[in-house]
Amino acid sequence: MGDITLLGLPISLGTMIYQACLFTILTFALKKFVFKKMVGILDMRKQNIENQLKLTEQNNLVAEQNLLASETILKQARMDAREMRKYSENEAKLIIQSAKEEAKHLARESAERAYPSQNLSFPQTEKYKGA
Amino acid sequence: MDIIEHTRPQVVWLGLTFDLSIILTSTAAAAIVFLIAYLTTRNPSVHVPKKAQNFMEWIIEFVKDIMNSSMGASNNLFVLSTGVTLMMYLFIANFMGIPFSIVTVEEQPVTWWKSPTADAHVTMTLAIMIIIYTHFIDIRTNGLKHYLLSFFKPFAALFPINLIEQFSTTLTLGLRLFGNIYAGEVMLALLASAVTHGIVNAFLAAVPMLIWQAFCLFIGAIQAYIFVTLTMVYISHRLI
Repeated sequence: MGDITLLGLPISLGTMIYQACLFTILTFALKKFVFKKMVGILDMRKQNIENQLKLTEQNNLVAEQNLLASETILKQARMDAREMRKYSENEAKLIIQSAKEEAKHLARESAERAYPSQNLSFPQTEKYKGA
Repeated sequence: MDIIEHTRPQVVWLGLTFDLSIILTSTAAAAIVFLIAYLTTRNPSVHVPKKAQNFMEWIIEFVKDIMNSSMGASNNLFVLSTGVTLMMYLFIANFMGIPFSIVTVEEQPVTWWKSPTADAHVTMTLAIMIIIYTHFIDIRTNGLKHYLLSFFKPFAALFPINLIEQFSTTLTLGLRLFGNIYAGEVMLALLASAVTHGIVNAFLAAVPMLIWQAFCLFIGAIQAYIFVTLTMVYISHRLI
């Protein structure tokens, strides 16, 4: 038995009204207490992720630029090093040459100085020879 | 207040008939839905969501996907809330009669606990509310003139068909859900009644009972999904 009969079917309007009120209240309560908050959070997270992706892209660009810059610096440094090596090799050659000359000079000088003493010491060796 | 029918625990109050069993079960379903939604999102975190919050977010995203696929990208919070609430409410309501049903045996048996959606009152109320909302949103977004003219499109001769369409969509939306859940519960009741026919029959009915319960879970989930999808489709029809 219901309030009205439609095509022989009893319909209880009270149940339907209660159901409508219940579902409306449930929807609005969930919207107010849960979905507003959650949709905000989901949007915020989306924004966060987008921002971070953008930031990563920027960082990548900066890193690439830094890499390029450091490569040029490295190239420059290599060239510098090569030049310095060449220069220092030259220098070293010069130093060695001058040292050799000096040594020769010294040797000649000492030889000249030693000439008389050689004469002096000669008899000793003669002595040994003779013995 | 007096109980006037025994297969349904109905009472008359203020000249209106109320079905106590539906009031009990639907209120329980609404309470469960509210508790699930409220407790899983009590301390929401933006960066590291916990398991429960993830679950709730998954449901919201799921309904949002349904919504976006039928009406395009939309930020309508009310439609989204309706969709998620419908989905959760129907999901819980469709499952309530599956594990057990409570029937008090007096002169005539009275069913107290079953799925609220196994009653056409509940499903038809939801369907009518949704169709009324689609009409409301049409008038609000496109104006009354556009709304009235939409019944005469594409040709004026199609007016009766357009009118019938509104009734038939309401009817099918509500009765599809009702029929599926009701049929499932009738089968469950039949299988359960095998207990009264001896222990051999009870054991023979146990396996089909389990299978049918699993199938009812599947049907309940599918019907909740279909109801929400159709809701979104009907609303999006009206927005164009």
